[in-house]
Amino acid sequence: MFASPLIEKLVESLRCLPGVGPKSAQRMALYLLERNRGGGLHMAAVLQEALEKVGHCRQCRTLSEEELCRICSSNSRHQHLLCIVESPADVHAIEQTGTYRGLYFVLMGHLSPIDGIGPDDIGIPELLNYLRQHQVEEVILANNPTVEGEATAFYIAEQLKDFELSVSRIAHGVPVGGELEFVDGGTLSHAFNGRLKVR
Amino acid sequence: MRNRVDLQPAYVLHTQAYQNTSLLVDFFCVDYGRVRAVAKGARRAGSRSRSFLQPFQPLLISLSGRSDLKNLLAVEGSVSGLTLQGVRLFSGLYINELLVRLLMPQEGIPELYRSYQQAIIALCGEAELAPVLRRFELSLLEALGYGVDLQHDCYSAEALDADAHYLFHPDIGFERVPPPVSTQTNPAVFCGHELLALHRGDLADKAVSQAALRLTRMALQVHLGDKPLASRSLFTRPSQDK
Repeated sequence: MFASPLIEKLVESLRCLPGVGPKSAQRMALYLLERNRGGGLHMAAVLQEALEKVGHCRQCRTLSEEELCRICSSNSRHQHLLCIVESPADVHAIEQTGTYRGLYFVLMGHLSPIDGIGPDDIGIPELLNYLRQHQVEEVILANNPTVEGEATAFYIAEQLKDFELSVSRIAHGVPVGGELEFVDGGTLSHAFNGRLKVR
Repeated sequence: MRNRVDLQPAYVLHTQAYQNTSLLVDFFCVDYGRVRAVAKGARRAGSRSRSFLQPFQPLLISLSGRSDLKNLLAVEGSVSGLTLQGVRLFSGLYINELLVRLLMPQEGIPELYRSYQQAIIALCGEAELAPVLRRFELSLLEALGYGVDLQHDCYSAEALDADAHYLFHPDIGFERVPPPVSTQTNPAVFCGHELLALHRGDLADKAVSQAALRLTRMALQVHLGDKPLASRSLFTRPSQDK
């Protein structure tokens, strides 16, 4: 393809990114080499630094370059509230809403027997340890409303039976600004099952 | 399998993320068995097919494509949403894991599809779990061509005697063992009356139910190989303090 083995190596290594095939990888490599060497160098340095320094928070397991992430070490968060989510992206999404002021626990996945992912792979032992050591009053299960997410939420709820705390599951229903006409049947039936008393 | 299939009854066994907005879905179809297809754009915000592409829901799917990996053209479902809860959901995941592990791709077994459908319907209802799972496991073995003969001795071909004891050889069958025998010492030894009850589908008795569990585990183990079933770990507590 290219006369230079180094360019080929670059193209090949760009392909480790999700959704990047040979053609996109080639376009990216040539762009960096032809037009934006500064940006490329900067990216290489940041990439190196991030991969070396970013690990997991020892308390909530989210990605963090500090041993204890900013949310876990913050004084202004409610220590007795714990929200369990599947990924750091979920933490980000919930943080964007600004409505939740408690702490998180990131499972880094969900139970998926077919993929060979069991309770030990999503940090359930760590979660139970955390709950034994800290005073938590409510655990909010914010797993995705998929079959695997439901299974994970139920499994965690089962494990928490011996703890003296309340366990809640986030509601799923009609999106804000949505029209019932266009909402799929599953969501709509869930919305009905989880309806709130107005009066 | 033809290049285009319309409105094929199917269940989703498993999904995984594929590219930016697509899903890779393993279906269990009535006529074509386990089929893998790409659901393009199913992970996009507002995708209507996403809520249908969940396990344990009866669907009608349309597929196209020449290779083994099909394209999902359309999906229709009557009820959608998460129908199974709790331990019943774990049991459903167990059944799905068995199918993904043991079924050959694109080999239609309509009888097995019917047993699967009956098992899922039973899980959605109030029926007791163990008999549902055992019945499905036995029909799965049957469909794979390793059905367990619960009526005859595999060597003498004589009918099983309710009072005798039998040694189970996976993939072969039951061999009569002369008395005295103790079922406690050898897990592969079964009482004749338990096997006959199992043949009648009568799993109400606890001893029969436990014998059935022992039997299907041994029979399936041969085909599952060394890798353990991950869904079994859901029914137990996780290992303490790693």
